[in-house]
Amino acid sequence: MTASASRLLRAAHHAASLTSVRLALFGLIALAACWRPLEQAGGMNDFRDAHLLHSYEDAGTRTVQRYGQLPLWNPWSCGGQYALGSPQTRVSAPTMVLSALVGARRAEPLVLWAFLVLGMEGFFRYARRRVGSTLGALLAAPLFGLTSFTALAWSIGWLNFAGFLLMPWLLWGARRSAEGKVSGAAVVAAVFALLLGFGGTYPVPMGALFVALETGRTLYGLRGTRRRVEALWSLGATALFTLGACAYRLWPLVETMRSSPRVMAGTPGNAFPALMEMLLQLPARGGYSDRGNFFFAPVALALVVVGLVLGKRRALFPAVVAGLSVWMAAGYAASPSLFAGLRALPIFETFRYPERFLVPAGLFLAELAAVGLAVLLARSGRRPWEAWAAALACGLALAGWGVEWRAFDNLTRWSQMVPMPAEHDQPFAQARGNRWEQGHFLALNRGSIACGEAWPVPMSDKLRGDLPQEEYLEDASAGSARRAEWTPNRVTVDVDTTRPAVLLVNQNWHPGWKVSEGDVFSRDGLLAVHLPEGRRQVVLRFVPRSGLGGALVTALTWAGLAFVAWSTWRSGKRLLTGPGALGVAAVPLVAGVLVAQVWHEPVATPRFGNPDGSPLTVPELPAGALPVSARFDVPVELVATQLPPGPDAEGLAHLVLYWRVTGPVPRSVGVFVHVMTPDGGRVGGDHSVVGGTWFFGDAPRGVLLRDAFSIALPQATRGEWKVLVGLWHEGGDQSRVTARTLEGQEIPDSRVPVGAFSIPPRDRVDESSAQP
Amino acid sequence: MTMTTTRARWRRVALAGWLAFAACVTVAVVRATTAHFPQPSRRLSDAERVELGRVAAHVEPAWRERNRRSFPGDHWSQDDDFGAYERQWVLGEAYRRGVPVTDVFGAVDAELHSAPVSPPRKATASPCKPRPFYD
Repeated sequence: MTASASRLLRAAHHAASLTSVRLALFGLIALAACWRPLEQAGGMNDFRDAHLLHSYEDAGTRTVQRYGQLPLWNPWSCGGQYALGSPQTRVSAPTMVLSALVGARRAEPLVLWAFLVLGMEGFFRYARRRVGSTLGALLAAPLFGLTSFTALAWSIGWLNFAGFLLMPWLLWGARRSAEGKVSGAAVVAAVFALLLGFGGTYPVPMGALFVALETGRTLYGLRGTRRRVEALWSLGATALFTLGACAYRLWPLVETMRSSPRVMAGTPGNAFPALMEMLLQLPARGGYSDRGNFFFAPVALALVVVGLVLGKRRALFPAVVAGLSVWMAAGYAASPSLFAGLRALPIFETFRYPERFLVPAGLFLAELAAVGLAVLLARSGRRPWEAWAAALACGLALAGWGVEWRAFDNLTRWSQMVPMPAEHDQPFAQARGNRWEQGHFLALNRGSIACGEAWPVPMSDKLRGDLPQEEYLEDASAGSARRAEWTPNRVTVDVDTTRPAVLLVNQNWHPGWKVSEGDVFSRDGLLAVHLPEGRRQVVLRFVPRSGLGGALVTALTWAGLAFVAWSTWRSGKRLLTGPGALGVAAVPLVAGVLVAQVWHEPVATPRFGNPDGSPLTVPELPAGALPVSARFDVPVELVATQLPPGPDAEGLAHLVLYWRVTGPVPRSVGVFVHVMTPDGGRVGGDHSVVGGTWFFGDAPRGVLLRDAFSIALPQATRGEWKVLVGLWHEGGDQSRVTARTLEGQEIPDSRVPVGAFSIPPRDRVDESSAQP
Repeated sequence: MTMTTTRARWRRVALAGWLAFAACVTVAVVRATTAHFPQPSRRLSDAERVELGRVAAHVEPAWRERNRRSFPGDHWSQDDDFGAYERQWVLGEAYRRGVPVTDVFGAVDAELHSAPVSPPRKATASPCKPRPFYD
């Protein structure tokens, strides 16, 4: 290597070590990547998911800007929902401040830009420690930072998925924490808290998974039992601090999910060639496809290969974890399926898209590229050809930046931006709404009852979008109610009644609603207040225990962390590496438990229903049910059925099966229903989730389950339609579960005949009817 | 070159880095806050608002019937399907008349609020119950 090249290399290393230079570089790269999103700032993304998710941010921004309140309750979505308890909202993240300053829509591309910069800087810090090369880490950082999934997420309104970019900070923080550094604990706690507040439904659990792996790697790398014990103390305290820092959001989320559990069925999978297309094929400029959604520049794969071959021990961990990530991304298409195993765990059971594991796969591929660069740069001073190899590697990295920028830019072109909706100044009211275009309803100051969330939001079926006034007396003859003031978190109503009455508010009830007079309660899920007779002003306030209690725990946690940092600085001893820090970290959590004990609040119990709205459990069989009493070789009993006399006027047959579960049932077991047509054909009514709510394995034991479903009959063929029901391993080898009579005799084909209905000659489908 | 000179030079580089970063922030903020999307200049007149509300009310029963057949027994999916039909219609009307989409939704809402709605029309939407399968 010539002296000038050597000087240049040293200067590049030095420049890369300067935070300001790195941030300037990353800022510039992020600016190039975000050029189009910034140009479209202020427009409304017309993709359906964007309407749903952006409406949350818009609602939060309006709550802050117009009413000067914290975004706790969102009356504009789904008839009213707890903003902190809804997993995909971003309103509790610090980015809300930016939304309040420049507007929710203009803030989005700025947040995207900031996350890109943070992602590259985080990767740099993580990789520098891991690969031992400042310049190598710098050159590889954009290979991860420009991951195309972020661009896709931006285009379809999933900005909360930009949280994936903060994963390197978690890994970096976990390692520093294991080394006993308070800054590591603080970074892990802060990033998890930020991601949770930012609606990181995937980044948070996936981040936890990879933090666990990184922790194992760090512990393995430590020498001596004492250091490992200290690391365990430190990691334990970090875990508690993280729990406390997340409490402001975690408590509301846990509370909400317990009252409204989400079922995610199915066996999603991706064949290996499809995964390679997602990872290595340049995404198109328009249209939706999976190709290139997780693009990693193929040109940079040469660096990955160098890292794998020459990186030795440094390459082992990223290589193994990248492999595990790809295996996970294959979902159920891989055999054995790692993803299926992960889904057996709590929280991870709601994962729907295994291919999202290609984001961490990209991270560890970038780390391998950094290893390759580090090795070649370290050897560049030995022989001339090695200097050329290092120069070529740097060129490849730069080419990788260019290709990834191109992929990023292509994906940002997928966004469907339309002008911001025109604002209509009118008092708030609920509308029937439309979740496909929800953004327009906030501009109308209307709540959209129509709700398209990914989880069963607790909603009243008594919400209406045609009321003359939103606050009214249940019995109109009891007096009058008139809105005096309306804000998202506080509603004031002047009430005058001649006898005790119930005041109804056309919003969903939540245990966090409190009232100045009377008793607040749920009337079929609607916000209601029992009032004595007389004239009074009733003030309803949304003061949720979980939100305020959680915020207290979070505040105490940061005070505790500050105390640990101060003690460490003052005494010079590492408080984090002993039991003391664990005690400090536990204090806020204990305070949280005390708050939960002292502050009584009603519990929102889950309301389990069938897709037709009928209850999913019943205390006893109704009069019209026909006992069946069939048993299966899994602890499930088909107790009875309720068949209609025939299809309704629209050709729909409404059937009910009564089940009882008495023990653990594999998740693979589902129901098959064969409706045999008079001419020998068959119509199916299979479903693996009872009432659209429970797998048999999740259903309460010993309870009568009422499984209601409907089947559209293809043609009204006259004659008798027999119904046969059984169980099968729908999510497994698809074999039938043996069915038996009460006496234990096997039922032929394991199909239980449960009855029949008939279509008489004159009972034809009336196509002109519009009645249900 | 002395050590002091080198240090001073790197300090200048660091300062330049911060300035460059600040410039990036400024460009991003200016670009985001000045971007402009032109709105349709025409708005719905009161008469058009009433007319559109009536048309929406008229077509609703036929959509509801189709929704019931598409998703038998699944009330949330039926209502969601209705929303998809309504969306298409609203976007089409807004485009045809050259008015904001919000205005057309506003017209539908005003019609719903003008008098209580009775079956087969609905002024409500079934509670959210996402389907368990997506693959």
